[in-house]
Amino acid sequence: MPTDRDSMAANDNTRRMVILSVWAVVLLGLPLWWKTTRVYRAELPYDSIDQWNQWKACQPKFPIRVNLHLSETEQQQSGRNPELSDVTQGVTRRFQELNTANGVKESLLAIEFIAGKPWTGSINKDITEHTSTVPGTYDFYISPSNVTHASIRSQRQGFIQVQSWNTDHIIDTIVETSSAVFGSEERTIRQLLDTNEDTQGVRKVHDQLKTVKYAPGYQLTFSLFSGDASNGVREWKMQEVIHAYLAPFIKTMSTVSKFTIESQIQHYASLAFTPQMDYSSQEHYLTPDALPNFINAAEWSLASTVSSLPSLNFLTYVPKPSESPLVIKTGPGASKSSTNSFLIPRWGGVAILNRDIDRTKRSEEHPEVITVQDLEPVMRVFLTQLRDLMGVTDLSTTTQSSSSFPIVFHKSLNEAPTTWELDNLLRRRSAENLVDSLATISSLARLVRKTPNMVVLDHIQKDVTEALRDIGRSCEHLSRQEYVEALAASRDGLVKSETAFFDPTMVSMLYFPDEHKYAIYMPLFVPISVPLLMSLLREVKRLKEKKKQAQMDKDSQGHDDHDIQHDKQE
Amino acid sequence: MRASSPCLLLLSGAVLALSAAASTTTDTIPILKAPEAFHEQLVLKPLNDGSVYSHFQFTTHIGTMMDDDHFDGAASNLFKHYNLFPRSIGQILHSFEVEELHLTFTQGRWQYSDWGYPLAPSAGTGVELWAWLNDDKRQTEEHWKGLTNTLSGLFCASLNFIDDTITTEPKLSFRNEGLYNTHSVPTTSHNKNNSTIPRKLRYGSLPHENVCTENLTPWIKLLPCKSKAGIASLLKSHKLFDTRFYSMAVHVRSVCEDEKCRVRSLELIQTITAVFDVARHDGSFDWSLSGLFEREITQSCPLASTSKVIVNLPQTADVENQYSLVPHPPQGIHSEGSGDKKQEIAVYDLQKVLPGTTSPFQLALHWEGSRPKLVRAITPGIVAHRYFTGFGQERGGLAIEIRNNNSQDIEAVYLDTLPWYLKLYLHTFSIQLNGNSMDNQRDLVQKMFYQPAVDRSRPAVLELALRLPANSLVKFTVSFDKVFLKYTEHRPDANRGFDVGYAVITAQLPREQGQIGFGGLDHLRIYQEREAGLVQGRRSGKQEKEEKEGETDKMRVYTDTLLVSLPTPDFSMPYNVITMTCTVISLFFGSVFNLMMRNFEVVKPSSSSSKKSGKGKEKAEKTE
Repeated sequence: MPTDRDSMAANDNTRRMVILSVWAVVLLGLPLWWKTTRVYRAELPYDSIDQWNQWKACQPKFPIRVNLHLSETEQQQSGRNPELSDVTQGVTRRFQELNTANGVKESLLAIEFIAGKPWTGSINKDITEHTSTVPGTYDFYISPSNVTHASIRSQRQGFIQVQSWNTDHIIDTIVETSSAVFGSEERTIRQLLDTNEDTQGVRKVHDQLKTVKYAPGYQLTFSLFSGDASNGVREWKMQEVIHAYLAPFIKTMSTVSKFTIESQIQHYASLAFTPQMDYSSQEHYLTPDALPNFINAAEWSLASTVSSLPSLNFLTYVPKPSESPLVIKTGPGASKSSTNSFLIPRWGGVAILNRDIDRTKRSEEHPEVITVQDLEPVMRVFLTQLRDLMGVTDLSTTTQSSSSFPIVFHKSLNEAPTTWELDNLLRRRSAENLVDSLATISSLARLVRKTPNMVVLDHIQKDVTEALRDIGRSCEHLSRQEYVEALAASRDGLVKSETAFFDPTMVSMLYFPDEHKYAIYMPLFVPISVPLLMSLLREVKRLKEKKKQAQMDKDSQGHDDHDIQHDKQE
Repeated sequence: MRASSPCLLLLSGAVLALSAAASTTTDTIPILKAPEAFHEQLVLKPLNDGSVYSHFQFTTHIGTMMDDDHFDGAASNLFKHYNLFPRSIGQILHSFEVEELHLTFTQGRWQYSDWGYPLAPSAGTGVELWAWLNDDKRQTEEHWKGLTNTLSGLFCASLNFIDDTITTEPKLSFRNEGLYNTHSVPTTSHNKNNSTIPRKLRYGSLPHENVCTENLTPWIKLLPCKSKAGIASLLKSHKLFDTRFYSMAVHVRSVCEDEKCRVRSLELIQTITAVFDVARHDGSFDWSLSGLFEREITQSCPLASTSKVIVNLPQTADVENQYSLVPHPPQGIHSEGSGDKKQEIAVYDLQKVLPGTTSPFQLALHWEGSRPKLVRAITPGIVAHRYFTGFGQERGGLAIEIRNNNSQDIEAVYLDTLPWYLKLYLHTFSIQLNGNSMDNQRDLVQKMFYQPAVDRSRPAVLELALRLPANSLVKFTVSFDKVFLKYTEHRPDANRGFDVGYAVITAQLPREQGQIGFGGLDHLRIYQEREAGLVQGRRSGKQEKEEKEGETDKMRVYTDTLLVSLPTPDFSMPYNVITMTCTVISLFFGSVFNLMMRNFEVVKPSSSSSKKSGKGKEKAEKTE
């Protein structure tokens, strides 16, 4: 029956077409489903992040200009005057030699020596008034003297006196002074910007341990913690002390960070533990091991309720009479800490103030008031601690005493940072901010790459791009010796990178792993896929059978012919 | 009402500058010595049903010279250097420009008809927060948001849930309390110009909030002596929260210190009110301090200017000495008022009692008989009751009954805040007076403010200025629809229902009508004045007039909170819908697909085989 066979063939074709089209729909639909049920992820600029990580996009440079001034009077007196241009070239050349000797290809602090105006040789009014106000530009005044001696003035000025008035010696002295002033800074910044993964972590932790993370503003809280109200403390004159001692520091630092100041008194602030007793000296003492437990964070009100600024706490602790006097020492009989205070890295400082109640009662009218005289040593300690916490480097201590002649660093009033220290701080803080914001961005990028289910919204992408732009801007400002602007730009970058990193949408509360998606669509996919797969298998099987049939048909041709004839007869 | 007097407005304007003044630099600020003072007081009173009412009140004053010239400097100093005044509160006041702040945490129901009126003004269950904010820079919304969030963090409470959908701005209730208690106020105030500075009120409440130890701990931290010395050493959370009623509050306001209001001070009042059920264990109404609190006062707070325990003695029947108070107060028992208004008070000055002895301060009250007979039944001036009417999950109604027990007409303000998911129909609003419906509502409702709710953004506010006739029962009814909420808007315990906060009635009531003590928050101040015999000398002007009429106190009466159950969906619904849809689609697909996969052939009935499927046919062919 030919119609039967024809219709069967037609049926086969239709069936195949149906299977094919349904499978086509499924195969096309699956990626669509995958795409539409996926979480939204904005693309982050991974390439430029990688570039920045190697400082390929912009290598930060910290240009420094030093104007050299030679004494004029000496030139007139003696015939063999050293040429200023010779000195300048000589110093520059020597610095390059020093760098190559140290294996440094290019110095980060690009010091440029410029021939300045000659000067009279005496520190007169002109010179003290003619001070550089640009951070990174300094004046060295060189004059002959009996002994070689350098004094670094607070106003971006250095006075160098040389013993023998010849070019070589002048060059030597200038080079030695400069490396004394800038050497340690160069090393610190180099460590900071070091992109080598192995050495990076260890050094950084060590250097930045004490210093608070950079912020445009800080909240300083001076707290008086009185162990017991029965020790007679009712009032303290901290307000006056702050006015007298802290004002210069805050004024100078205002180019870097602003400060808001508060003070409070907390009574009945007991320690969480009992100090040990040294019977020989009738003193209660705290061992350095006990100091980490000193702050009774659960009971002492130290946190600020409103301020969004990072806060630094300075505690004056007046122990209760039963625990008085309280000192810090390693054990009984050991010598006690002279300042009776300690610094808590990145948090603040603590000073223990022992009050001799008998003495105060006798000699003073108001024994319940802690006077300005009582607080002065405490405030001095706090100022030193504040310098440490803010990362103000004391140049005189970091400078190695390897120089062959004495270098004196002048200090400003009440521990306020000098201009040298301030410039140093500006450069280091900018570098730190750059490194920190880059680290934040790259860890964000790593996190996003590693977590495919994380939602990345457009504003994260925007923040990251803007942070990178700010970093670039800061780097440009640095190379143009615009340190204040560079710090501002790097701060913007840091803020933006942290906003992106700590954005609440990055740690979504509704986090669905892919398994959930499969589970929900299971009732659709499983019942549909079974007939689909079965029909496909059957069709394949049928095709195979047909092939076999065709083969068999070929093999037994005669037999088939007979069959066909037989059919026809019917 | 007093709050509307112009001089008060002027003064509160000046107060505003106090919190508004800010300076970021520390140089060249004249340092003014701000006298600070701290007072502590405990009031105890046996109630008619045998419970013992205890009210702790801690008042911190931080004073400033209020000359216009020195004003800025003083204010900025005020919020920079803290001694007795807690820094956390100061920072909040300063940064959110808060003029006045009232925060109350309450647990349990205050039973007005049994207990009278409490000393603490707020008694609604849950948390109540209201503040007057400086709107000088038009930042009230941000400041309010910041304030709720900060207080939430400070007191470990869910105050941050007070958002736009809860916050209201009452027009008549919760007036500025700041100078409400102050002495005479001259009309020729020296800073008139300040009165134009806009101030805004924000009010929010969370009826569902539970109060517990985690809220008490930060509260205690605000005290200068913590709970280490003084009256506060009695505060033991285990006993305090095991009471019939517990309320804890922080109030900040500005008060005048002298007659002309030249010297003003910022006043922080912290109160704890607890009603102990002493008869619960053994049926005896005897009590002692150590029994109530399981703690003792061993020393008075050395920082406190005054430190007193005051006992309001119970008014027994005609027979004297039905009870004994041990120890007897050193200065004897004071009497206040006479006849029905007579109140007897015993005062213990801890600063005089404690230093002489080494033993802690003890106080106990013993009844002679087994059950005390009390003379005066308490009849509170105004009692309010509010309840839901109707049934089902679609429609409902609200009924409010206010009973005026006074023999005179009383002016009162009724404030009701209803969440947006109850759709009020104002046209159904009706009033009944003593059971008879009233046609002319004007006599009773003198003013009416109604703010319709906006879905998901603001609540409905109904505020009525009422004149309640003497000895009457006024009843309002209004009906509403319940809204079907979105799936995500339900609480985790959706079937419990939603708490609807209390209504508040503010009324000027004649003094000593079933009140505990007198003067509410100003109890301490008034008490001190009376003691100093200064009452007559200092009070003048309006207040003198009031005294002639009989002293009045501004009282706030809180109704109970309500629970409304809204239509609750089946929360597994979304998953069910997905699964169901998927199953239907796959069934449909499977059958259609199978139909398309199969061959259908007409099989001739003559054929020997009766198999129907194509495959069967093929097989049949093969077998042939």
